[in-house]
Amino acid sequence: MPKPVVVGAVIYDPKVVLIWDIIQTFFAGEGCPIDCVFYSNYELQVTALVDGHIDVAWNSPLAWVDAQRRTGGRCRALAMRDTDRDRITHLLVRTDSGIGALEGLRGKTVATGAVDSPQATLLPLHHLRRYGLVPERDCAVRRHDLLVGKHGDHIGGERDALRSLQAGESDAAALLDLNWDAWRADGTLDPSRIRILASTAPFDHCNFTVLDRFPAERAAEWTAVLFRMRYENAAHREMMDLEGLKAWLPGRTSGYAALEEAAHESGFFAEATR
Amino acid sequence: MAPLPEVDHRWSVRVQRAGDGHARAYARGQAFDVDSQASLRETDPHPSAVEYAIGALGGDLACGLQREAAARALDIHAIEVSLSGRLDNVLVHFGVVGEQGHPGLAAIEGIVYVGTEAPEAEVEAAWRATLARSPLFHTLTRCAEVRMSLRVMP
Repeated sequence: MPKPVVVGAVIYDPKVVLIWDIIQTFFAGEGCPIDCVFYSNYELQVTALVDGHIDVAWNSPLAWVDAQRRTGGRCRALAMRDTDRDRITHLLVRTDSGIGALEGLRGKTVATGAVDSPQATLLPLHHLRRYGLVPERDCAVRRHDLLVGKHGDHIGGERDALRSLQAGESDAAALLDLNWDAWRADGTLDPSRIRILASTAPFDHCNFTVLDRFPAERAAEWTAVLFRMRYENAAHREMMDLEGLKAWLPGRTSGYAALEEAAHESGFFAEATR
Repeated sequence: MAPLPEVDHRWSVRVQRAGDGHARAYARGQAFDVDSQASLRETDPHPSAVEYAIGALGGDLACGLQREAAARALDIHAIEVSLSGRLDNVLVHFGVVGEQGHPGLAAIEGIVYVGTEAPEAEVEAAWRATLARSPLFHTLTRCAEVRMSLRVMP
């Protein structure tokens, strides 16, 4: 029996364990067994990857940036979900706010997700800086630090940021495009009361990360098996619906530049290591 | 000289691995299958160990209340116990590195629905006696927060 590839994942909800149960069963059936190691936060997982305790890490975008930082750029992205590509974050305001441009947020309060959420905090605040607004100097930031360490994998921080906007406690809120679409559809937000003020440039989300020491032939075999998952196959669809994808795609690293800048300018990792 | 009276009794259960990760328990002439320790799946072939533990409490209380009601000549049409329980930290059970807490049951809540025309005060007295004599209620309240309430419905 071939030696299993050890895959790390951060568990932000007990149901995520089911996703990995299905993936593990699928890989075993394809003759490419995997072992899963679960972590409570991305800092532990990146450390495990760097120290060689796991072969592959299912990394958030910030964990990817951290892994690259800690290894001097020796990471490779093997694969990602179709939905990880070209995400954007919207900055929302109330339709009756009278705010027509980002400049209108000067002196106002912007609601964000958790401190380590790329989509709900780091990238939208980076966007404000690009347009001349320095967070905490030119506008106040009302952060919603739910489950810090999980890099905003869950919707909690964004949901609370939206509520803060709806309740009039904040003047703007950051929301991932997927949540904007879902919450308009299910009535969580009313588009006649909340509108998009601005949007970030597209960025990429999670990826399966390996270090350069992971053998290329094992990486090729592993990704070949992953890409055999098909949404049309009912046995795979349950997992793909839970994880929010229709297809696995090759990993790309061109969508993380803005997050690298955001982490640098906010001193995120300097604070994390203090 | 008469032998010492038997004031203690031990119940024996034998459990075997039964393949596909599940186990089969044998108690006297009966057998039951345990599918896993704790499952989050929508369906499984058999209940999990955690569900058996919670179900055992419900079974204990339903049988106990039936017996207490009979002893008091209370006419009971129906008894149904609805229970739910949670672990202190289910992620510890799943082996998540860095999680705190323990994988044991932390809390069980339940409602006992009793269909009867009997006076409510008498049903409540039977319920108190049931709790006082319940092996599993007394076991689980020593390690978890157990909150049971009674609803009497004509």
